[in-house]
Amino acid sequence: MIKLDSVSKEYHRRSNVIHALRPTSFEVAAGEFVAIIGPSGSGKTTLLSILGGMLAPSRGDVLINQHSLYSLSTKRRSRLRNEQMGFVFQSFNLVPWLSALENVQLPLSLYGADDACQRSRALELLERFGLQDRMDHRPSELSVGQQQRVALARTLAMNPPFILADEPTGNLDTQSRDLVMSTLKELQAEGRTIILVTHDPTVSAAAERVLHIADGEVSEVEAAAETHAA
Amino acid sequence: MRFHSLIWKEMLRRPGQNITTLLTVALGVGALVAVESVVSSSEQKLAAQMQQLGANILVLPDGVSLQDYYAADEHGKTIPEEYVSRIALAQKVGVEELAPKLAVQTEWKSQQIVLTGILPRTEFYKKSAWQSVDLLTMGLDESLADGNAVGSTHEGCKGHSSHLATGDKTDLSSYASTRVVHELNQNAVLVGADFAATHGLQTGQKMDLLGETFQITGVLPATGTTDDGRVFAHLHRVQELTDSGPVVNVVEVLGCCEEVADNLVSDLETMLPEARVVTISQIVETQVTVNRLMAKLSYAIFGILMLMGGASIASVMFANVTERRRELGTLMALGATPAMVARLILFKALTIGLAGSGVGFLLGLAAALVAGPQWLGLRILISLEAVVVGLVAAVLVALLSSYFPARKAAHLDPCLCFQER
Amino acid sequence: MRKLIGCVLLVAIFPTGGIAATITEQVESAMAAGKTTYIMMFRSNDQASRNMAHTVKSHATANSSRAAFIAVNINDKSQSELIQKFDATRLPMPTTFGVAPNGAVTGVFRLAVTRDQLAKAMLTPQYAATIKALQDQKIAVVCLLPKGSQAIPSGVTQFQQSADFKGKTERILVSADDVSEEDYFRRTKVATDIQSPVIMLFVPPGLVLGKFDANVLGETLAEKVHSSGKCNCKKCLHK
Repeated sequence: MIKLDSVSKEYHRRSNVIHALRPTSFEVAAGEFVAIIGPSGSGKTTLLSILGGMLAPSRGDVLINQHSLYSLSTKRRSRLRNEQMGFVFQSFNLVPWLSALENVQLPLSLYGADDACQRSRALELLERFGLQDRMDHRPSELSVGQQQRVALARTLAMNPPFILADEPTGNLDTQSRDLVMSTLKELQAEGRTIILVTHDPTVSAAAERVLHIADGEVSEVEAAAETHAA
Repeated sequence: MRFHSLIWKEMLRRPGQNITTLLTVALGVGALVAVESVVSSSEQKLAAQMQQLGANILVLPDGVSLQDYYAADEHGKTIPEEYVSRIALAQKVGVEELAPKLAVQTEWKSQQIVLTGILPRTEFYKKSAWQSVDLLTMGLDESLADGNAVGSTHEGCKGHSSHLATGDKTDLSSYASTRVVHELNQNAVLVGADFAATHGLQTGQKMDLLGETFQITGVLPATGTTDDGRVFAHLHRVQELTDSGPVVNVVEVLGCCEEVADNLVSDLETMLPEARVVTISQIVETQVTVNRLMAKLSYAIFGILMLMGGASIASVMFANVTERRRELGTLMALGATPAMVARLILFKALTIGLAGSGVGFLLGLAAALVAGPQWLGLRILISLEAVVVGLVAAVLVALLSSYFPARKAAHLDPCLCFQER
Repeated sequence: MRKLIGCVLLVAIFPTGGIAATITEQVESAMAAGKTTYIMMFRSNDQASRNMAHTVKSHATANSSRAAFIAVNINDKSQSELIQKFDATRLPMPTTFGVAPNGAVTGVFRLAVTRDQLAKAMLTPQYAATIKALQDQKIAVVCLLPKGSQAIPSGVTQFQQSADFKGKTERILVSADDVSEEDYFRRTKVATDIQSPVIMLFVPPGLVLGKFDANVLGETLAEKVHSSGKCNCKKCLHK
């Protein structure tokens, strides 16, 4: 379970105060699929960064399973991110000079897992996404869809309970988009908590719950259907 | 996949950039190793020469500059052989051997060789012996006055030794240390070790030189000097055949010990005001001074190249961090700590430093091994001090230069991973 | 031309009153007469030559029973043998040699000479023998004998007969009875009234190895000679 308690984020630039995120409080239950929808510059990425333990809020607190995220040291927060959070990035963010297999191994390597464990887990995930024949290929040698699948495999390397997705379908064709969304649904079915950030209402429709953000202000949308109507 | 794999694979992605930086480091280390090795080997050779030559003094024509002690007779200028008689008859304390030389270029079997006229020890002994009365008088006054005689152990060196021809003096092998042969008749030649080996010459064979036939009466032992490549005949015969008159290019004076060398030098300068008198230690001092200058210069060049290398490393690392900010942000999002990210940068720099010093060591070794024997006639031994200093300095410079880039990397905002390309 | 000038100078400086015996004959004659011959080598009629000639000639005249003076121009080809014998072309000029009747060179005086130096070059017969031995590369074993004794110390005989030194030594006996050898005793600072032999050991070119009494062993003399091959100061011994 993730809980935000009066979390806000301001930036001070010269004499101006920029409210990237106004005070907000909400909870995401375990196993819930939440979409955060808003236009570009609305504060979606700021919110996701705060949720992911990568950006300390100016005020308020983030609780992961009742434990304050930002009371942890940077090192422990990194560890928590490695073990419990899986990120899906809009641009995949694969390391260009590592093979598909090595990209998937990355979280395990950062954790300190031994080589055999890294390899077997990475192979298993690549097989899940049908990429076992491409394991030695570099990202530049893969199609866009294949790259996104490698990225998804990497997300799952540490079997994280939380998945944070930032515009995961932004650069994809219809087929690949469908694959990503169905995968996220699968992951939810496995009991993971999914928080997805998007500007696309059709993507947010897949979520159980939608939060709207505009000018740093988060508001709850009653139901996914209402977002469609909006 | 281990931590070091991340570094290696990233470096191999774009080797060109890293190679340039590595080469700068390598050049610095290579220059240091090469020059220091040459200097160190030169000093060792000089020390060995000093030990071998002891208290040697050269009497040269005025105005002759001396590049090489062993080629002291190759300048073409002359002094009267009368100087030799002056020295021999003066019976100065400390003079053990006299070796006047006259080097002439001549042709033998269609090739140019250097024929050196030398005076055997017996000639020096003959002239010295003319002073027997004076020597006895001096000896009788000293020895009987204080109850001691020459030949017993005493404080300070009296500087006269007997002219008895003991076995080792008459043996050609003593030439290596004394640079004088005991006897040499007018129709005989001696050949240097290298000359004999190159032309397959042996004792008993004949050589036609300057229109005369000489017999080889011996092959001199190897001395590691220019003498090894020469032919030697009686000085007076060479003078006669070349119509040069009674002149020589140089007179080597071997002192009995360094204790008397300084006094001997001033005595010789007074006796021969028209000549130039130099000691082996003066020549060596010059060479030692040059060596020290070279050593300092090598460290200065090394320092400059290290600064350049450091600046290059810093520049490359800063660019690398900027270029990889999304990637590094992603690593942080995946769980890499700031310290880990900093280590990626530092260890990359360390790798460049180590590899650069390794390549530099090989470059320096190759340069020293080629240049030493070819250009300087030295057998090179690698200076371990230079290797260690080079390695340590290269690593330190690499790490220091990458400190700020590593800090920058550690302070990157992980949210960069969310930036759209 | 130079030869002519040389000859003229010879006559001018050293008037002989007519064509005299050749120089070689003069030298042989002086040696046969038991005289010390002073042979002055010169190149030209410069001031140094004239000065030296004057000094040597005066000394020879004052000691005419014991000394003779001969001048040789090194440009005179007819004297090449003598010039070559003394390697005079390689000496500073003028140079005067003192030559004992037995052929030993008793002194070499370059550029200038004093009467005192010339006097010291006149040696007793046994001293000349000693010098000759040294110049022949022999070890001189000098026995200074007391009056009325001819006994040679056994150590001397042992030394001379030893395997290392047989044929390489010359024994010179100087008796206190011989008045003509008083100078020898003076030079060696040995009293003429010694009661027992005194042995002196000299090696080429003229080094004094020691003074010993009559009981000296042959081995002692041998050891002295062996250690004289090079300078014997402590530092040299460590070479």
